[in-house]
Amino acid sequence: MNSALDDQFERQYFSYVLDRTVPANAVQDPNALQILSDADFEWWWTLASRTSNLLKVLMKEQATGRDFIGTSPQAQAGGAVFNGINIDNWAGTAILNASFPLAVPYVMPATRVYSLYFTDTSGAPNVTEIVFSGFKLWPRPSVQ
Amino acid sequence: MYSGDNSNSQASGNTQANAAARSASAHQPMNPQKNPNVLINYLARMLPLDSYQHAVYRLGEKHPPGFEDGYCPSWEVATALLPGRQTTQLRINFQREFHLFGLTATSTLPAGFRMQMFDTKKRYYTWKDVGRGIIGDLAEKPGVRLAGRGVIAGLQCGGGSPTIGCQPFTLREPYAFGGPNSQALIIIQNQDTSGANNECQVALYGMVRRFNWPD
Repeated sequence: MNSALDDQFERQYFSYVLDRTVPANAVQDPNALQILSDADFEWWWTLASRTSNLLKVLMKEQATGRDFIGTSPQAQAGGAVFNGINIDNWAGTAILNASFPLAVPYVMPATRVYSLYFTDTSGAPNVTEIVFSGFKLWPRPSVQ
Repeated sequence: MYSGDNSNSQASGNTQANAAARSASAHQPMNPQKNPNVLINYLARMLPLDSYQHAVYRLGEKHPPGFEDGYCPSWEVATALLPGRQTTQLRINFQREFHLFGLTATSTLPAGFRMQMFDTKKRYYTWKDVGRGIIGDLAEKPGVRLAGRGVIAGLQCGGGSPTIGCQPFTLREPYAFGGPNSQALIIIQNQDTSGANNECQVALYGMVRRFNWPD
């Protein structure tokens, strides 16, 4: 490997998984995902499986209050209510569409909690699995 | 020389290594040395560990600012609930320095929609007189369109079924929206004629810098 590109981390392929059966017609059903305390996580890809694609998602980082998914008041028309992004616009299903690439990874610090809010409009329980795919970052002592 | 004569054949020694070496010498790397006239987007990176990332993003950098510099992934969403053949305008107000990486779109009806997107604050230099190097009027109204005319959503935001989601359309290199107070204008026209309401949603995926950076 080109040593100039070495950032002193061992990357271990890892996936964080959130399973939830979203109740029918739930509005912003809250769910929490906590990063394990052993290592930071470098988030590269997002995947999702769901019974119905009539499912919306909001995502928030608890320690910072950062909203990953946003909109503007003028970005809604015709009475559309913003309960998040359609799940198929946010994550790939790996079957119907490819996993969604972040292109620039985001580091989720160890122990940090991420909240996901699901809104179902299918009218039936929506069995959902969200996968954050990426790498655990294990520090490596520098080799001189 | 005739076919079958291998003694001086161009193909002799055509191993994988030789082919790779020829390729490396014959083709410029996708991320050549910085040209001062080429904008470098430091956000662009796809694969962190080897140079083949540059084949994905031309402006890939070894250590681009990212998370450490106050950037984080962001999805800005525009949603319209439209009756048949109706058109509307949506405006997205971005956080600081929004860089567009990809687009996705869905609609609840299979006919989908057409869309046209504008960067309402972007301004490029124009020449009033190229020969004499006189810059055009800087007071002209800013704003650029990102497609020549309205595009079928699947062709702007990635192909696939409009009702089950599309492959994300990922830009070859990020597009930085003009600032400050950058804003996108999205015009959506429902293509469904049944009369039922069609919920059309466009999501702009990108990187954005938090308001209070640095602190």
